[in-house]
Amino acid sequence: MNTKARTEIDDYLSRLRHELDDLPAAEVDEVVEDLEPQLVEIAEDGGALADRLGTPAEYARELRAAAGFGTSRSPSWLPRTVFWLLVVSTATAGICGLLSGRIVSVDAGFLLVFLGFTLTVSLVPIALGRPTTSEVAELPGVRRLTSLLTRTENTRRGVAYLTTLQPAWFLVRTFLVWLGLVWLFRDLDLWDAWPEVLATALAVGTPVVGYRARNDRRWLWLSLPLTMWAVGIAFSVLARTEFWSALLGSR
Amino acid sequence: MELSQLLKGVLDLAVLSVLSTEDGYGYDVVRRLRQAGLTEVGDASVYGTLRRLYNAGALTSYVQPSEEGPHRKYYALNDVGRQQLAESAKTWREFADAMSGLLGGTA
Repeated sequence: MNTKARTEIDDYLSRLRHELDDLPAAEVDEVVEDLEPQLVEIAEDGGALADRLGTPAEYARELRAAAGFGTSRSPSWLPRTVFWLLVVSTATAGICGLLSGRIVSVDAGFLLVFLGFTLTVSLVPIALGRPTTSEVAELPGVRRLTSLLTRTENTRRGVAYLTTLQPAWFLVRTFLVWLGLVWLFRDLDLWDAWPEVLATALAVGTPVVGYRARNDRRWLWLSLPLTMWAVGIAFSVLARTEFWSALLGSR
Repeated sequence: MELSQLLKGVLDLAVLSVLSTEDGYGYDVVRRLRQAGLTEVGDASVYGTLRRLYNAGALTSYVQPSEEGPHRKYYALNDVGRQQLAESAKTWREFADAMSGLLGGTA
């Protein structure tokens, strides 16, 4: 069996284990032992695992129902709460970005604390794995959103095109985050000589967050607010008259 | 009886029956059920049923090593399982007869 097929199988099984990680380890081992030969056969025939068996999350759900393991890992309010926490922290980050250029004069420290709070509250359950990101993705509202993006050939192509722009965006975002951090450290009067250095050290980490989010959806809870923050900073830059006069040459 | 309970009971009977003719591993049981005409039943439902029957003590399992492929875990009926099969089959036949009787007037 080629390594691509083996990787696919291992990926499927590890995601399945994650979906079942509230069960005793011995039972999960048995479940995997039952399924693996079939995955091997499907992969060797060149088929797609998810086509034949459903996604690991769907498989786990059907298995739980038939085996009597209990149909949901998390209490039903948890995926919904964590989803809205993502919305709040993303929106807050956007506002922070917008205000960091001081269009409106606000105490930067307060904003930072509030953003830190919403981010932490949204990140902790997600990092702990309960709810799983698939539970969030299966929320009716989220499903409707994602189906909107894949409904027609045109929207699918649009999404595919935007995905190709992602590396460029990560580059732009790194710069914007750097800028925002420099402003922030200056506002807070931190590290007199070194705001740029510290900002650089932190900003270069942001593409890592972005790329991690591609495979492990949990990173979205950090990456999306980061993106919205960068967008807010971009707008605040555009709103500064110095920017335009610098661009157009002082008249 | 709730519908899902009813279906669970029916699937139990089908799986027990398949294993009574010959021991089977996971998707071997799936395949035999499909061949018998139960095409709509999902793979995960069959695997889950195997686990539930095993955990309830109706099945034993053993691993058969294989040179060409992965080791396969086979499930087999034990005495408890055979007893459950006999009782469930009897209940099913009574139910099927009753339904035939009901439908006989309209079919």
